[in-house]
Amino acid sequence: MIGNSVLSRGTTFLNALSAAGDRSATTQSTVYVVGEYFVSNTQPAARSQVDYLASPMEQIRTQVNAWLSGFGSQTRVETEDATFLVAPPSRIPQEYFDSYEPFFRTVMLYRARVGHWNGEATDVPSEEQKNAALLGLANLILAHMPAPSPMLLQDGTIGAYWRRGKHYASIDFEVDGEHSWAGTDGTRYLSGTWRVPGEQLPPALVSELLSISSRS
Amino acid sequence: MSFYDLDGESKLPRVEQLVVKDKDGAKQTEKLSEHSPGPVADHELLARSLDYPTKFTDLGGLNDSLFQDAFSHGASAQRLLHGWDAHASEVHGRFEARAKARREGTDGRDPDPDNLYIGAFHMTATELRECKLDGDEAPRVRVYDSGDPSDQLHAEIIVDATGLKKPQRKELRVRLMTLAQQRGLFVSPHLPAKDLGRAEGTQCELHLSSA
Repeated sequence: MIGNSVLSRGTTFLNALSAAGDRSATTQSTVYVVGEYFVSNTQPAARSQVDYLASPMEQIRTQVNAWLSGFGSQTRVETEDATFLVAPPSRIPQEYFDSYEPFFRTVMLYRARVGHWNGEATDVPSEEQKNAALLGLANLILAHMPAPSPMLLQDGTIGAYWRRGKHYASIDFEVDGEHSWAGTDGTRYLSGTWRVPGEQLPPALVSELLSISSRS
Repeated sequence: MSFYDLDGESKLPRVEQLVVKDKDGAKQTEKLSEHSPGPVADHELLARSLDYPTKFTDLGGLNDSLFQDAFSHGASAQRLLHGWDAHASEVHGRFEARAKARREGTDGRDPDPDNLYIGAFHMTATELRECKLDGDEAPRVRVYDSGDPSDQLHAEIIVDATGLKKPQRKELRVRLMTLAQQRGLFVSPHLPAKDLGRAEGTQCELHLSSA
């Protein structure tokens, strides 16, 4: 479960989209939302009847939708040459959350040591490493990025990656919030960092992810 | 004293200790193991195994965890002195034996019943040694001979990440993964037919064994 974790604080960014996966040229504006916590840091931790496989997805879905519905009708949108107010989508479609579910389940499996994935001296992710990944994923959901696949690194860091043949991009969700990312089309390479919370998803990474997801 | 004898008290990862002992990589041209046939020549082909689920899952294909151990402990590879065709059966057999030991827990670790040897990637020592970041001329990737009595053709790949920032290390991992997949995945003849889908799940070009 993600109790005691803070998935977003301070300035948070998301891209205004008309629907999941719909990223036309007219919906590339950036929405700046200030000062939000969308998972409580005061949830009781002593006793739980949580289904550990199903609950993270449900918690995140509920919290993100509650967060979005709380915006009301006025959210500031800034583009390069204008600032205006719009209403964000009140709910992120169920099917979009569903596309992330395999990732969240795998994160829980990493934590549970299921499959003995420590066979090559790989550390089980710590609570901090798990939360870093969930925070990163929540921000990817809010940015309507395509669902990634999970990757576990030796030190317990959880990563996310997208692949279509030779086209590839990946992010390491680091506990310090400064996530390294890199992408390639097989010949050209890009890399950088994405600080979460605090920074917009790097445009170069967005471009890579959209390019990958557009390939069959 | 062997190049591979390390300071047990050091808190540095194994790879960093080795880099300290060979700052300019010159020892790549020396015979470091008494059991090996000699240093790894630039033209030599090497095989690197792909194991499920430690190196990838079939949710999304091959990922850049493939060479992460080259930055920490050292990445194992098999030298193919006489080319792939001459060594294919032996190398597949060696990698499968290792996976079987992991499944059964006879390698000194907890049993890992899901472990599968999927296949091998090929690359030359030159390709590894010349794997660099744009604007960084430092020879970061090294290939050493590290044979032992039971595996004389064992080689070790390590990365000198001295001075690299996190995204540069990340990009180098991605470059190594891309290098590994360039010739495709040589699928293990030991892979059960029901698990062939896992090889297909790598999204790499597949070379199926005729054995």
